[in-house]
Amino acid sequence: MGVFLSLLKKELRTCFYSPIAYVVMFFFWILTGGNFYWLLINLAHGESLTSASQWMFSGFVLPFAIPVIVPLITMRLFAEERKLGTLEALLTTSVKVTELVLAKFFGAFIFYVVLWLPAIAYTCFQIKLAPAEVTGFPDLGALQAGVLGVMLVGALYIAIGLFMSTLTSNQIVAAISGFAILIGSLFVSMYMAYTAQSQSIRIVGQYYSSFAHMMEFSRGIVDSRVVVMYLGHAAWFLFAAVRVVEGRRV
Amino acid sequence: MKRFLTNLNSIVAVLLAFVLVQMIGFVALRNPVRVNLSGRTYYQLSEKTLNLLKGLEHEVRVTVFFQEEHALHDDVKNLLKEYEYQSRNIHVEWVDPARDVALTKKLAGQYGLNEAQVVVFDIGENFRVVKQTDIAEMQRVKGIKEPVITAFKGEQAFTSAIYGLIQGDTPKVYFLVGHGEQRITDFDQMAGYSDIGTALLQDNLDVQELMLSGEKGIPEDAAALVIPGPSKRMSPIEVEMIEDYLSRSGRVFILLDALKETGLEPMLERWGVELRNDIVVDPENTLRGSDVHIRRYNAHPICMEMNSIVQFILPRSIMPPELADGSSEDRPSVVPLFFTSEKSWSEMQVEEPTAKFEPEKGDMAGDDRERPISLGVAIERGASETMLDVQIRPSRMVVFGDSDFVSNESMVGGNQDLFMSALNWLLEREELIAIAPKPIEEVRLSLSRSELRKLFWINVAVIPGVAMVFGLLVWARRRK
Repeated sequence: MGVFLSLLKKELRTCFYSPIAYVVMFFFWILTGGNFYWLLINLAHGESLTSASQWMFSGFVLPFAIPVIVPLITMRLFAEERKLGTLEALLTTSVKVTELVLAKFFGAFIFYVVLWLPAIAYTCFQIKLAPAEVTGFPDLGALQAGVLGVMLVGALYIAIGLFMSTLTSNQIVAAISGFAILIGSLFVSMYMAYTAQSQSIRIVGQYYSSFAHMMEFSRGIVDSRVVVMYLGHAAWFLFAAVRVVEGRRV
Repeated sequence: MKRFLTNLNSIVAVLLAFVLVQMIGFVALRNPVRVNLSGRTYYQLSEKTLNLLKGLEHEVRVTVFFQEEHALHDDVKNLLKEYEYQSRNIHVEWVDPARDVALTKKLAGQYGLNEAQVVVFDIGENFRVVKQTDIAEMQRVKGIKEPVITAFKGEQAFTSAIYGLIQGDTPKVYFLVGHGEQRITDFDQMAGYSDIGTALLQDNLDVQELMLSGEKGIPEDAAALVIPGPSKRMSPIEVEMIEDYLSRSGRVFILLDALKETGLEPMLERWGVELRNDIVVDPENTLRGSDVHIRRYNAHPICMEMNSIVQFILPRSIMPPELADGSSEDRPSVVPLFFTSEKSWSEMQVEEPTAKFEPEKGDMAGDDRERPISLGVAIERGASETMLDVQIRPSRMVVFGDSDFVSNESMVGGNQDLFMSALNWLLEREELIAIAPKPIEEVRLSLSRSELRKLFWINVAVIPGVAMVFGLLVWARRRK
């Protein structure tokens, strides 16, 4: 545990010392801020509660922004260490690969959580302006579900990005392959879920479409099937990453 | 070699893990738990629906014909998700009429649809069509082109449809033919009755034509008999058959046209309908002169829900009897359904080229407070609450003073609704299951322009600015 914590600490230090983190943060905060401002404009004109709560974490921008942002966070994780040769050094110590992968995963995940913090600040502003008991918005339950949804989607995406990063020593390659997989799967699953002709393809698409899931989460629906899907697949990608890194040890 | 084996080992392990993940996912799929954390009950199913879905043994195929851009699309989708979650026997299929043209055409042919934005419930041998007007209450607001949705009653509509389907009985409605009636097999664009026939089929009714000659009486399985605008005299024997059926708790819907003698008159008189050999003229509520727009409805289950205008074409008056002396058990209760305006009158001199109100020649004014001119009545006999233990089904009859108002050409405004409503009253098919509609929940924040501007700067400039400042600090430190 001590090893894990020190690894995590080191991971966070590297993360928050890198300028790229702040570039990502800057642009993502503009996006979430703009998204929330757009929501406020709609609310000023009157908006149905369902659409309003869906806009909080979903809408037209955020589901597409997350798969762009996440590979930027994760590309560094293993690729950088491999390039600098520090990974080989680490692997010669008694550090368990699982611990190492988990530390890197949670390091990136904590940064991802920090990315979402302003969303809570926006809600506080809004509650101050118009109390939730009066307007019925934001609904705290729906907010919790929305946060859970964002975290689950993030966990899976980060696991995928981390796995991509273990495959190469080039950060750019890691980032671009991450984009390709995340955005590709987002669009393919959206296409399958919404416009495919065959019913069975649609069902599969709906099972994997994080766009559809975010819509559900942000209006307060937590479905065990979706939660299991995210956690299971995230765990699988982490396991695959562990095997890849272990392969380098030999 | 050793490296190869380790790699192979890893690949196999990863693949096995993938299979394991899918297996766990499959178990989760079969045992779903769905929680609604938000405090809203907008899509929450009522107890009635839950009970119905729990005991649902039929496979119900739900086909939704809705464009994604439609205002009700999301509501229908979210609601049907709850249905799907509650019962494994509900299978929802989405068809976008604008995109899946071929499939839409195929299914539209199968279900006889002639409009988009409907939901079809199908259990194999039977199906039911739920229209968007059943799913939401809409209101026209001045200045807005699209009607504004005021309440969402999807659950009521869907649950009633499923309930009606699994009940299984399709009431048989006979349309009388043989006396120059309007025919449901007539697809003429103007005078045909095929559209209303289709509407009845979609409403889970069995529709058949009935020729009385050669029959001993009205068939036993008749849930209702419609006599749509006969233009020739019926023989007394036929009228006797009809009256006999009616007296045995029968349900008869008669549509009479002006200036046509049908032979039904003596029977109608016995049942308390006063017929005049007239045409009703209403200069206030007409477009072409020959049509009469009905706006005044009486309080009766048939017209309770009517809120759009009904257009009758050259109607005749159908009046309740002038003197209602005493109220004996056996007397049918005759209730007028709708009236023409106060400026209207019942014109008796139908041969004269110009219609003019001449009371001395027998014309009747519409502004009579005691007896306004009515164009339709609902008659019920034997519906007494003081009956002992025996519940006898009452006889019911509806008489309208026009038959053209539901011909293919005239299915405008509320015409079809009025017809269906009258038929449903006859069949005692009032709402199968009553679930309160949900008012649309709208949030509106009162934000001034300056407040919005302030929030814009905070959200889009100040908060990202924090990230920039930190970034610059880190950058500066690293340069040292």
